[in-house]
Amino acid sequence: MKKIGLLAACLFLSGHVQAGEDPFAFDLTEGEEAEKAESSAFDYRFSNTVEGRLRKFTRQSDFLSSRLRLNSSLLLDAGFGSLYANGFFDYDEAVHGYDKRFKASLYELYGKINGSETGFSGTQLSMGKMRLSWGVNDGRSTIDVINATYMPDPMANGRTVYKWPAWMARVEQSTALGNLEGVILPFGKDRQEAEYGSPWEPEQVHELRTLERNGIISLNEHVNPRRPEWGVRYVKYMTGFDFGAAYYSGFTDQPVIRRTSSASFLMEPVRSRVVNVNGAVSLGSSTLRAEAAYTGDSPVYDNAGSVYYTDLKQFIAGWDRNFDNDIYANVQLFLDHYDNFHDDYGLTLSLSQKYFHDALNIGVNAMYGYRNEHSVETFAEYIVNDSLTINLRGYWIGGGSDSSVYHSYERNDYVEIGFKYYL
Amino acid sequence: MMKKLLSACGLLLVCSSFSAQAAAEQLTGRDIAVMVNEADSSRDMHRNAVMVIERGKQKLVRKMEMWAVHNGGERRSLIRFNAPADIQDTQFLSWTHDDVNREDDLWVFFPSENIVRRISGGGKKSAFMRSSFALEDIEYRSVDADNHVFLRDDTVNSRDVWVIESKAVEAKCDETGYGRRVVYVDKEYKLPIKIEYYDTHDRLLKVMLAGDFRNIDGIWSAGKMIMQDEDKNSRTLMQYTDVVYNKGFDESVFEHNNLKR
Repeated sequence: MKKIGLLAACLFLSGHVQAGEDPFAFDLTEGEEAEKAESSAFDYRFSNTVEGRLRKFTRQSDFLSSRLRLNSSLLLDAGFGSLYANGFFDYDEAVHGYDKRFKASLYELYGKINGSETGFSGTQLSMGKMRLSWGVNDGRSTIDVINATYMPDPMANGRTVYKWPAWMARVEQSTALGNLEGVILPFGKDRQEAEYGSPWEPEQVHELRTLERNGIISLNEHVNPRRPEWGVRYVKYMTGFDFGAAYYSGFTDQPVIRRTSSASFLMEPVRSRVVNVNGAVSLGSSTLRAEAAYTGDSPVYDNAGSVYYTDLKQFIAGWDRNFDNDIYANVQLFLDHYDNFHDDYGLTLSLSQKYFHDALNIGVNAMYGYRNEHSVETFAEYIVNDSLTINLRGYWIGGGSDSSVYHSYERNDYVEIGFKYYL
Repeated sequence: MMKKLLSACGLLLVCSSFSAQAAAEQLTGRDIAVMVNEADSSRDMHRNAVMVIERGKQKLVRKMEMWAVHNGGERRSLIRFNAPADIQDTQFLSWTHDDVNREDDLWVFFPSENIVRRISGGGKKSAFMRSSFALEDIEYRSVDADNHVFLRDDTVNSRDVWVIESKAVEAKCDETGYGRRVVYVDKEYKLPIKIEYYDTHDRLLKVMLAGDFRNIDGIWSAGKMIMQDEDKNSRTLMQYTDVVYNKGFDESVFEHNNLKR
């Protein structure tokens, strides 16, 4: 209904504005009043997009993906609260060797109750399957630990991983002293692992799975223990800067591989507790961001591949700025300091420039870290109109030690052509 | 006869006295800027907006909902996009301070990541959702963010106007993309009916025209605006609807935890 209203506004406008002498003899709201009358008591919105992408390996002869996706979302808004659902249906011929060609996924499904509408001003309650991101840094954050990395297709862009929503309840309370937030995941993170033979399957996991398939070892993949996780966050938004602190008690993003007997292995996440402080400051056209975090008993692997635990201290400092309104730059320096393991350090980068009234965006997203770990994405996105966007991408990934996932992915460089069409 | 002559002389004297007084009380640029600022005497405001960007043969449509509240020396505003689909539910929350030594604060809600992110006040300079407007063109701007100079009396479309030139004070230069603005203020509405925007090299960038003025609850408001780019084949039309002042809505709408889908 809303789309019809917009279309009517366009059609009306095209015949009206240019014809009249009065420059204000236009009405952009044609049909809108009727639409509002229909939906004033209970509003809803149903949106669909069709997305396609063709990814071709540059270091292998195969295609990485030829996915066609129908993405649908529904928003119901009843004033005192709302319900949102988003899911997709995929067809990908290129993955048939290791995964299903057809896949239906529920991405998000959550309800929200506005406290202000029910006598609890400043209170918000949300429940359902959600993606929730904490922290102030982008590219890399020390407290973006609530959702698990989606391993079947992990790279969101050159500096960020793709996270998968989880079932949770979240309550927020605004006070004069700041915003308090609590979240509980009764079943923990929802980890989705790469299938056997997938280009995104970590090398060590692939080796163990191969040995198990050959009957040499026993491998227990207990990747979703379904145990509760919880966290609290405090944020104070002030003039000029924001300050936050968070604590999260959950399980590691990815399972840890442990030998349980001479020929038995267990893949299972381990308990992880993170304390974080963060802040963001506006300075002219720039924003500075910083995070620090402490994780007790973080799992790491020695040279023999055995897991052990050591405390982890993380620091991130970031800067981003718009130059001349068209150029965007974002740089982050990070340091992961382990008490009994080598430090990891590096930077993430995002640089882009817009052309043709922001219709064309060309840029690079990148991460460079310890032992040449890197992922670099160059992209060009062109917004043809409000309905259609097309993109071209090149992606290079690799480096790192033998146990690094970047090393596992070093033959996964690809180029992509894709589109997104809003129905 | 003598009486009539004396009366005429007296009238002339009174008129010349008023004229001298008016000249003595010539409005300054700042006086006019204050009048513009005070024309919107509301404590809070809510409205819907439709924006159509005309670019050659292409037309892009955006729909949004806006809230604003005056709170002491600060104005808070929230813009939520309802269409098109690729920017649906994106929200801008802004705190604009009358104290020019305080930078304006701006946060953006990104629905895909369910995250509220601070961006610098300088982010208001960028094109507003690909339109000819910048966010700073439609946001509140405190009087003392600029130095205002009275230029002349003039007429625009047969309406009497004051013309003032506004240049950002040094502390606010980073937060504006303009070198100066020439503002044509309608003497009746006490609101701009035309604004010329110049870059820092004094090149005319674009011209905004305001029209469809309505008196809503005793407050004059422009119902429509046109922003015309000078050197590009582009213009943007904006229309406000359902404008409501002093509704007294719950201020929690401006809370950060309300920035959600």
